[in-house]
Amino acid sequence: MAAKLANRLLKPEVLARLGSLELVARAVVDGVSTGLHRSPHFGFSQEFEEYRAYNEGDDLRYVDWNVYARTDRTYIKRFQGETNMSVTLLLDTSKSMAFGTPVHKLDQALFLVASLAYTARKQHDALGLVIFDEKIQHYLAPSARPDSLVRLLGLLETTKTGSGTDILEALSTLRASMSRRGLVIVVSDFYTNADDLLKALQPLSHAGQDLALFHIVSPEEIQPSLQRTSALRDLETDESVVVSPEYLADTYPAKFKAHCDSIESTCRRVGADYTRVSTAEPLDAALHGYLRFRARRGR
Amino acid sequence: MSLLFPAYLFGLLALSLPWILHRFSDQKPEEQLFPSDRFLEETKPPVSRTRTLKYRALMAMRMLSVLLLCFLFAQPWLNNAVDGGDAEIHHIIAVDLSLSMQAGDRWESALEKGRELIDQLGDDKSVELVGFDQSLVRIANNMISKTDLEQGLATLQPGYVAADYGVLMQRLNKLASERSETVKVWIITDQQRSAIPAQRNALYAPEVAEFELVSTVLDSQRNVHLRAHAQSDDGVNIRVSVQLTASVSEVSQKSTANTLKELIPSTVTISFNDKAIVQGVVEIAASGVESVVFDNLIMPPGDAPVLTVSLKEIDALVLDNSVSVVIKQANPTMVASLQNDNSVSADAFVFISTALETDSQASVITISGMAEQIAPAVLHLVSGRDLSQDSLDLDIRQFVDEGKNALVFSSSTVSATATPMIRGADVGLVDESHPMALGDIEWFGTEFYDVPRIALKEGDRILLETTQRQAILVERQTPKGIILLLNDRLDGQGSNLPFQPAFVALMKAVVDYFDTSTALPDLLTSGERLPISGNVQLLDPDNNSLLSFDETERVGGIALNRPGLYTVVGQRGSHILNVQLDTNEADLTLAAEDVLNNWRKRFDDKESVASSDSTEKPVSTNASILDSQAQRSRSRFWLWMLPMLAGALFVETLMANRRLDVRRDGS
Repeated sequence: MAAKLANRLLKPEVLARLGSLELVARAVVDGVSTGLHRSPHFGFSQEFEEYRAYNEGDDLRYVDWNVYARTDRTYIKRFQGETNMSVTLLLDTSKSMAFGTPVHKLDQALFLVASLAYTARKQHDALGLVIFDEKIQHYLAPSARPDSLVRLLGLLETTKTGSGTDILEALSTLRASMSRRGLVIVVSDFYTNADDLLKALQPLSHAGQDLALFHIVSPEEIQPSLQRTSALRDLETDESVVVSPEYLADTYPAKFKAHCDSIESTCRRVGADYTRVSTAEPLDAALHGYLRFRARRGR
Repeated sequence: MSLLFPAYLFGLLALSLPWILHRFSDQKPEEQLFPSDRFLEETKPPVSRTRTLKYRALMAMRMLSVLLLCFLFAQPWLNNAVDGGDAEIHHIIAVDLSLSMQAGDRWESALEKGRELIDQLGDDKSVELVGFDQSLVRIANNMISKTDLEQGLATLQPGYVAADYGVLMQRLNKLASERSETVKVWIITDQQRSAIPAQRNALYAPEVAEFELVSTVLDSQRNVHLRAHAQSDDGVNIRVSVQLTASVSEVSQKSTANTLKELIPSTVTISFNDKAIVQGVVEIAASGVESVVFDNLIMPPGDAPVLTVSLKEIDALVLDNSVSVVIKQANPTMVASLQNDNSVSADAFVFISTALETDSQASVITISGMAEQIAPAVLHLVSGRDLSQDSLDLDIRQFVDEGKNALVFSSSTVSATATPMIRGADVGLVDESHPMALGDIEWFGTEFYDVPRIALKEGDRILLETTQRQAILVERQTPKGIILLLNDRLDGQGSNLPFQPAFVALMKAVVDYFDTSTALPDLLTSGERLPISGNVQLLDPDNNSLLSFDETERVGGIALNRPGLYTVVGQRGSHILNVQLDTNEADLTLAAEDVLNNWRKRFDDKESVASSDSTEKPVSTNASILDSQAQRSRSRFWLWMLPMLAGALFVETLMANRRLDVRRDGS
């Protein structure tokens, strides 16, 4: 019964009725069987990992003075870091995200970002957020402070669609400002060239960042259901193209699928996780897939 | 082919409308939002031949409908020459009987032209003689001999009324429509400019096949028209205003004497009983208008003295050189103040009498009693009555039923529940459309503290109300007179209205409104109709009865043609009415040549126009009667267009109703 209730709550149209993104995140995350991931980095948890000889420059606070008293040698105490990983979420708010049924792609993306942030916060990860369209609109540097989730959710609550998309610019800017390794999650509809996306992701990957891409799609853009010739107006460029229903039924879906495949292929080349999220499907599937991906990485 | 109303061809510009509409609806498929056009390609689906054909047929049908509609309005017709004898032509000779025909020798010329025409047409022709000014009078038709026609012509006399060619042509059209033969019209007239109607289309008579204008103006003439009125504000001094209007009829530029165009002094004389009181000289240009005022003349003795204003110089039209003028005296309107209700504040009558008598606009007669006691000559009353009752008192209703007017204010006492108010309700809604023009009154500062209850009836028109929607002034519908209900006690306690300047203005508006509804006009122009309510007698300038008491009740009015002083005698006494000649008709200026040519062109082709140019060759027109053997019957084929238009619209409806599919994309 509880599982059924959780599934019902996870439907996007139901989530859209919830008052705040925090509620959305709780509803999503609590309905998913969570699997904690392990951080590849060391931090302030209680699970001991190893001792290492003190090197010049190490923080004196981590010196184990008991060992020093017994052995007269300085060792640094290291712990396995289950927490305190840096998670940076990138949210695309371009105009093309204001499309989709039963909820807009941006709404679904907001639910997803909020849920991921909530999940990460439960593991005491440092949370960062980048909201971008043609340029970076808002940037919250990764922070492990207790109110980081509240600040992030507050920012998400006020997020509206912007103008065009330049995901490459956002990733380039992010790479320049990131100093420590962590997890970078990009949530977008990825109306960009796969080769360009590859060029933008490679530096992040080479810098040791874990990458996860959530591709938000709407059933109506995968398989449009127009019955008569229509002028389709691009939400971002405002240009109209007159297309026949035959074209939309035959040629367009193949082209769109090839695009999605190319994005997925790009992700594979840089070792990034790729998850396609439909606006018509509950988010738990996406989160399960994401957690399984994390488990595979052993982190 | 000719067009009766070619101006409607401008409507052909609307032919582009169907094309534009099709283009617009054609190129605008339904627009929908889409996240990106990256994977979209412009596609043009194939269009079927049938659909293209339907599309074009629908557009053509719509354009054809517009085309037919334009031609229907333009009314094209064809002149088809028909062989036949003279017996198939019916000739109508129309002689101008307007005032201007009395100028110079125009009338003699008209008679001569008429006789020539009758001679030329002979006994074997079907000829009808009519006279016209603002109406058309049938004198003699072809059933009688040529001699009888000539005798009929001799009986004609020019009158005092203006001519109207538009009315003439429409009457002739009706006459022609009654004939089976082709109708040719001869118009013997002075071609006066003022007779040309503003709507030129009225000049065309489709049932008339041929048309000839025969001018009676042989030489250039000059006329000065005189119009005057006299007024006395104080009963002692008179002010006489005289307006002189000069005009010249130029037969041709060359023949017009220069003296006609010069400033010529005109001597105006004002006399009483054939004795000159004052004289003045006015210089007036050929087509100028001059006004002269003779002020501070002493009022002659007598009840209704009549002055004669005359011109010394003789001009083309002698009849308008002298007018009789009645001196209009500013008599205050008589208003009866009925004081028969003790509940009415005595102050109310003081306030209302003072306001009515301000500036001597009215003279108030106080009567203690009912409305029956008011003298017949008094046409208006004011009285305080209880307005909260469903109907007004009987005596008021009877008074108004005689065509008289009543202003009734509220007599109700101050309501016990009324609490003293420092600030009352202001005037809110004012009926601006009412003739009393209450919107022009400055209502600022007028406040109503305790508005009495008023019983309104269906049809009551609220002319004034407060900001709290309380009716203050109401006009009640009656068959004859006017009832105005003033919902205020006028005691200075229920409102401050009696103390405000607006109250005097309101009383003036009431008196003016009452006067307008009952007063007879002082001045009319020849040919104008005098509305008469009944139970009066109308005497002509020679004091002969025009209408008896019984007749005035039956006819309701009469057109007065002859200038002079008429007398209306009734229960209210006698009223003198001055009928003066029409200034426009006394203007002898001839119609422009291009206007006359356009008129002729509607009937004839170029050759006919040349031969019938009566201005240049007035006598030769007679020859054209016999020379012209061509008979024309007009095929008004535009009538056929009506079923064509109906058909086109039907087909268009069928096609469009299936699916208003003007799109060519086949979707």
